[in-house]
Amino acid sequence: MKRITLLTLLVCATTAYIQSPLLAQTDTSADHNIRGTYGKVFEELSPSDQQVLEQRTMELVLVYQNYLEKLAQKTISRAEKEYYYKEALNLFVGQGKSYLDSDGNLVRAVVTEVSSVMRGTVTPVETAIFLRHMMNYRYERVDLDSATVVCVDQFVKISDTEYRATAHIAQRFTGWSDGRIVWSDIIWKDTEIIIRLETPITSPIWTLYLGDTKVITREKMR
Amino acid sequence: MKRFSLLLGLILACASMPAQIIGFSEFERNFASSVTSIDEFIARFNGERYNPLIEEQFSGDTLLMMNMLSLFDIRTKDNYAMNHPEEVVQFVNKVISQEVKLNVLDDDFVIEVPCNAQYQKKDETFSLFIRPEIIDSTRFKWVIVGVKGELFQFSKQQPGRMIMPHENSLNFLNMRMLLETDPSAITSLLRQDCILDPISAFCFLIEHKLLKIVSMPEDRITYYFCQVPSCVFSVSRLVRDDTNSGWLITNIVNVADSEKDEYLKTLMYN
Repeated sequence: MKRITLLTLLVCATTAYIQSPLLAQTDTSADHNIRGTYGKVFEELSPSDQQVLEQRTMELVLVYQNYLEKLAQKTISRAEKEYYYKEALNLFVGQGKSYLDSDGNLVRAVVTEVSSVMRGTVTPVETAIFLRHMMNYRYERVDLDSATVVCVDQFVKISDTEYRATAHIAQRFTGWSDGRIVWSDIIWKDTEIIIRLETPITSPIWTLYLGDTKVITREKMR
Repeated sequence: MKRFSLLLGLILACASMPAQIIGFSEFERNFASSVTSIDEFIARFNGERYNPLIEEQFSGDTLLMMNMLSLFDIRTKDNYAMNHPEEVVQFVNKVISQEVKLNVLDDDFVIEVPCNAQYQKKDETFSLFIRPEIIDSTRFKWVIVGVKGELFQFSKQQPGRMIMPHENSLNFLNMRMLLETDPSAITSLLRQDCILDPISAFCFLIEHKLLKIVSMPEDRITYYFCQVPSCVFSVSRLVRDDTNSGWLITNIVNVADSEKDEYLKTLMYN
């Protein structure tokens, strides 16, 4: 059953790859450049492109959320967690390590910044380290409630080979131990979504990656 | 009585939105209603999208009005909307009747980003002010246009603090001594019309690693929009598990259109 779930997730993950003609239809002439509906100048994606990208983004985010849930479960073996750790990192640009941007500049590894509005603390860590921390949670069970709610901003052009947007997610994160809720928090996440034109030997493809993430926790519920 | 009706309208807009979206939990409904990003705020303000809970209940002009009202913070203690219902309704009527649209690329718009920093092992706070700058016809970036904080307040010129007329004969020996004993005298040694620029000071401190920004508190980032005639309104992010959450209007200040530039300058500089 686990394998089936895993396969489903992988199928979802691979749908993050989009053949380039979808976006290549965008007219690059100066006349086409407009002030977008949300008040930005960008080479506007067609509504259908935006819709497809939003759908892919939601799938990508949900796959990641699922991996996070697995990493935090006490009942899952270390070996399985290692597997989910690697798969989760593969969803990020540079696989969680420093990477080259579309202009060829070296960019630091993606970070996850956890800030608590109540405590007034902000803790930025490399996402690879953040995921390791998740593996060390000692809750019997971790519920990530309402992970299906994802809002995606308009994609904006960064360069000829890159678009970016931010996905917004809200979650109720509940930790169980000895059959009792021991920790519960409302979490808002803003995750950077990076779409890059990659050119393997076959035809060029647009690939979706996760980037930097801000995690904002607001209120303890128990 | 009028005040009561207005208040009731505001409350209807956000507080009493029933669980109409079938299959959604309260938590999901709250998030669907919340203004998750500034893009979403602008889209709802411009009437391009609606709060889904409001859209379920209203249509036509009432939908426009209620959608706009739902962009106000009504939950924070002593919030502006509940204390100034008449002003809020006037504002909403103005936006709808004059078809005011927001655009982050407009000139009369600025974002205040508060910063917690460390300078000479001491905690410091200041604000950066950010605006968009167009790179080319298809792209833009955000740029720093102002910095404000005690750290960037320069001392005033003090009478008597000066390099005396004869000191050139002594090869300005006293200037070094004066600055060593009283560094704040430096401004007194400048021309009277010399304008000290906080951004230059900020750049110097950052470039030479003398100032380190430790954090930029999310909940205190504020957008100031000047597009609505005769007022400047501010928008901040309020993170809470409630239908009235996210990027919401927290304040309105009456400012004549001809004075808005000056208002923003006062906001951005010491």
